[in-house]
Amino acid sequence: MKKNFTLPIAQQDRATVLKFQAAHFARALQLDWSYWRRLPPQGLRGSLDAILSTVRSSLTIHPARGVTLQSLSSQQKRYGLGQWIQWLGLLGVSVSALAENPHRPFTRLPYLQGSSPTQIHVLWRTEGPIQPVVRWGTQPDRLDQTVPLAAIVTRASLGTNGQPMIPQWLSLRTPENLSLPKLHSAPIGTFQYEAAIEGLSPDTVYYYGVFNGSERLTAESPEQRFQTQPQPGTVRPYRFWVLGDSGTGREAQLAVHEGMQAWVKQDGRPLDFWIHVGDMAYGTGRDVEFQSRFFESYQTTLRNSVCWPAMGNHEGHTSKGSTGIGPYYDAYWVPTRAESGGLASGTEAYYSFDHGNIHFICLDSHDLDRKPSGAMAKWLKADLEKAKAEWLIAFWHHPPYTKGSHDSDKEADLIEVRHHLLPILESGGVDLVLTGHSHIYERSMLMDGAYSTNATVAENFILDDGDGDPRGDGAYRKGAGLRPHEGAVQVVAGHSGASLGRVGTSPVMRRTLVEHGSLLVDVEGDTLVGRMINREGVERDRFSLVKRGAPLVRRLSLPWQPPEYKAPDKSSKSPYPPPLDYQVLIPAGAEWKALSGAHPQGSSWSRPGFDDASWLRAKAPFDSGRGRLFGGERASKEGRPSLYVRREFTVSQADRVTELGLWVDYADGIIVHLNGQEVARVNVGRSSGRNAQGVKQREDSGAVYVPLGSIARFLVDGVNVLGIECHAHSEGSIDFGLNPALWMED
Amino acid sequence: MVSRGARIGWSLLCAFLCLGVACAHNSPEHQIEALSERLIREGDSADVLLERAIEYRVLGKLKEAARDLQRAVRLAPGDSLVLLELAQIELQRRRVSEALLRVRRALQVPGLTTGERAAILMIRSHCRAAQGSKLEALDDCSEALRWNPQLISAYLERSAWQQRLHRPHERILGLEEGIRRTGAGLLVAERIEALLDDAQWQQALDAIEPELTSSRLQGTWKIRRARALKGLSRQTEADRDLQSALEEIELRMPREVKDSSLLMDRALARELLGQTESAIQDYKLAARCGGGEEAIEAGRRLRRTRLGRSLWPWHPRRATQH
Repeated sequence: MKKNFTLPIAQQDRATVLKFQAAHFARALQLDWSYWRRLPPQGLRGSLDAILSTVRSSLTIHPARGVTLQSLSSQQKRYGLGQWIQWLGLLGVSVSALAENPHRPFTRLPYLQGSSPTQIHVLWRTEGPIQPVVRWGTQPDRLDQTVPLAAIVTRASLGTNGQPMIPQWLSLRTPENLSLPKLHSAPIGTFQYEAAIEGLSPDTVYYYGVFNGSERLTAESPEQRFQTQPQPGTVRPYRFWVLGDSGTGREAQLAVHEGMQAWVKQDGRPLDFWIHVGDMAYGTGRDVEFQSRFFESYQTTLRNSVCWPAMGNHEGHTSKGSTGIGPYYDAYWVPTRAESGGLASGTEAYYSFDHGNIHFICLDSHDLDRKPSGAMAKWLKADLEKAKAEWLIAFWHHPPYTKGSHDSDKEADLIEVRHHLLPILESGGVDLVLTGHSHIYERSMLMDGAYSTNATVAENFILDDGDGDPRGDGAYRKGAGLRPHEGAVQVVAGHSGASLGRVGTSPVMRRTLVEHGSLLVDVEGDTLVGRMINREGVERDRFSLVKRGAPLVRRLSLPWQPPEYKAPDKSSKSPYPPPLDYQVLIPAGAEWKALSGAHPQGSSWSRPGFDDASWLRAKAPFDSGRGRLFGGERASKEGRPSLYVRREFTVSQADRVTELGLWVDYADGIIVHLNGQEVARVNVGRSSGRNAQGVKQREDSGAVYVPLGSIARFLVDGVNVLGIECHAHSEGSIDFGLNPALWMED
Repeated sequence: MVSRGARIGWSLLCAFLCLGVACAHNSPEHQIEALSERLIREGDSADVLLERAIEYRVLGKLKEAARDLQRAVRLAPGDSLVLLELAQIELQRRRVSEALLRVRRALQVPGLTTGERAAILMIRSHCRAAQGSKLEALDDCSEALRWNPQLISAYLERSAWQQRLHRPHERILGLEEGIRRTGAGLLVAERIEALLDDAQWQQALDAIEPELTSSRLQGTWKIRRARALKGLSRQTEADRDLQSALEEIELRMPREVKDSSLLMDRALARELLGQTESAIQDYKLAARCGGGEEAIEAGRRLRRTRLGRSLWPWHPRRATQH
């Protein structure tokens, strides 16, 4: 079916600026994100002409009204949104994000938190205040109950005295608003609403809607639903999703989410809830990073299932367990007074909850005292004393056993977790431990008692060295109920989005997979089944625990040994993935001021205000394939060729920018400058300009994404200058050239 | 003073450092390598030095971490984050006066949030403790709680100091205030301990019974009940509880005997049963396994008891008053 989609446009320079919000656009065109990841840009070069022709025929430009994209056949759709954006750039059409928020007035769409058999929380954010109303009922079209206003907590970010802000936000600094609980580090003007829906029946599906007074803000949809928890102890099938280290905002994160959704859809049983073991908002867990790399990424799952979080080290940059302050604590509502079962922790840093016949414990392994004498370990012991569920599952960020991108034999945080916290948990009867931090999937054999501060060994700590797969060696066996030291399975699930890594093989691990994915766990009565589902939606590991009777516990002095890991001879660095949503600040094919055949004096050439009148005006790409660089100028006659280009670009709110990057084809080395400061360097060893040394020949070809570092220090509101110097590795380099575009993560 | 811009800058810088790392190698060694390259290329920066110091700390290289932080302090003398990190590192290195100096400077940084101020005060409390200044350590806990009344660890540490300084009523009142403000189950247990330490046997027993009934693992609670029963001169019942608790502890004790919380429980049960030598051994072992000051002090107290310098309970004269 063909679909037309009209977008507003504006004129800027000579290019038509097509404004849209990427995800909104994708939905409107019925594009499937998964096509984008299957066809990376480099793979399509051969058919570029055909593609451009397709794009041209699909575009109708009405300068006064907008751009109409039409006739996207299924064959054309398969190229995906990201590719379209690039082709549009090649056509001279630059793409930027829609200035208007498509979900207005929401700045964070409603999501579920902190459920119990009789209660659940709906949280959302708006730009500016609304009259918050939440209605709910047992039918999507009959929301006949209303949450009392007193049960809705409002928090606000209103800036500080003297802080520059637009008049609209200044007017919100009324005494009434200023008395509201504060939102830490959210953009000024943000209001967060936390509605507690109470008096619910256990294990029941409800539908909800968010209103501004009488105006309905959420769509009338069966997807806006939640299911209350069953009464503690209820035995029925439960399914939850576990992921970690996902919050990069990159394609792998999206693929893992889609992979899980596809598998669940095919299996036919939905999630009851999910667990995130930390690092959900790279790089420093700032509010904007939470928004783009967690809330927007998982919105379809967040709106109808509760996410129980654990804080990772990246969130720990801006949120502190010792104070309970920061974007992480703003984002989540977790039980502190045993609202969902367990022992009241009194803090959001660590907590516990019951779900049916499972007791869950979440710890803060990042910034709180892990020692047995510390408050968290004491609470853990006290909580375990009270836990009476049939299953006990604990989760936190730092793994006690790993040889992925982290090494649990070397790193103090990981050793402390193993040495101090595991003994308490295992003597309390823990069945499954879920962690992340290490960017890999590792799953142990059934094990107990390996707490050494020295290198971990498996001998005498493995209770069952089979694969735990009911189709293979059979499920791991434990006695019924919670029994101390009958073994637990350790899962490191830090493979849900960030780049993967491996330093060796942990001797306690039965399965080690260096691929993106997540874990699905099913608990039914006395049986637990864990499945690693990869980014393609394929099951890559399965293990099972059965708790029945009182099997004999034996310790294996010579357990199965995993094959030794051999590191690759030559480490190959995978290219840095580009962001999924971005604006193009400088399109491919843009006009730059350029200098070749000479070197500029000093570093002022890449600063604002530099007099570039003597530089040539030229359009990218700058190519020397036929011995010509651009505009008839030749490369330097002496020494290797070099080229300097500079161009201004504008940013309105520099402090809200999460990432700038170059989408660039180059040969052989480049140094990138932002307002006179170096922010990226590829294939150039030392120094810059005429003194640049150690230029390596580029071994691959085509455009790659190069993120710019330290932009927070150098990017300013208003006009900025991007300067790029490109150096050939030798005098006779025939590939020398440069074709840059500047992207800003949206 | 750290400007908002600088803070945002720090956050964004971290974002990029971490993103870079996230997309390549993520181990501390690789991060240190990358950060070192950055420092060579871009020159010294407090943010980058702080980041590298944290990585050194993760690897247990405290000297290197301190060196980076000292450089960072010179570049950003008003950055509370850097000062706090340095104070903690110096304390870990047992350089208490250095740590106190950093804490003093951190407290002078304008614009601290109440949570930050409370966290700094708790570090000062640890410094005072390391110096043996119990009263000042206690005062710092109380002051930290004035700034952040949700700080569970501060209630617990204050309670410990009040116990050491023989302030039972203050201790109980403080914990009750904590329970009101936070609802933490841990403070409920600590209040019962305080009642026992203050020899309020019957009140303690009344509070213990419902906790015991609702517990799956009852060893710790049975030991608490045994203390109360012993105080009420119900020796036989107390011994029965202690034996039962020991049985449960033995079942739960790991093979390598590394769980200090279980060791502490076993030590106390043995102590109450009059098995002084084995109790002392358990306290020693617990202290070695992370049991902290609590285990060390309990061991010392018991050794004094063995020499006839003190008697169980800790305050026998007050015990007779209740």
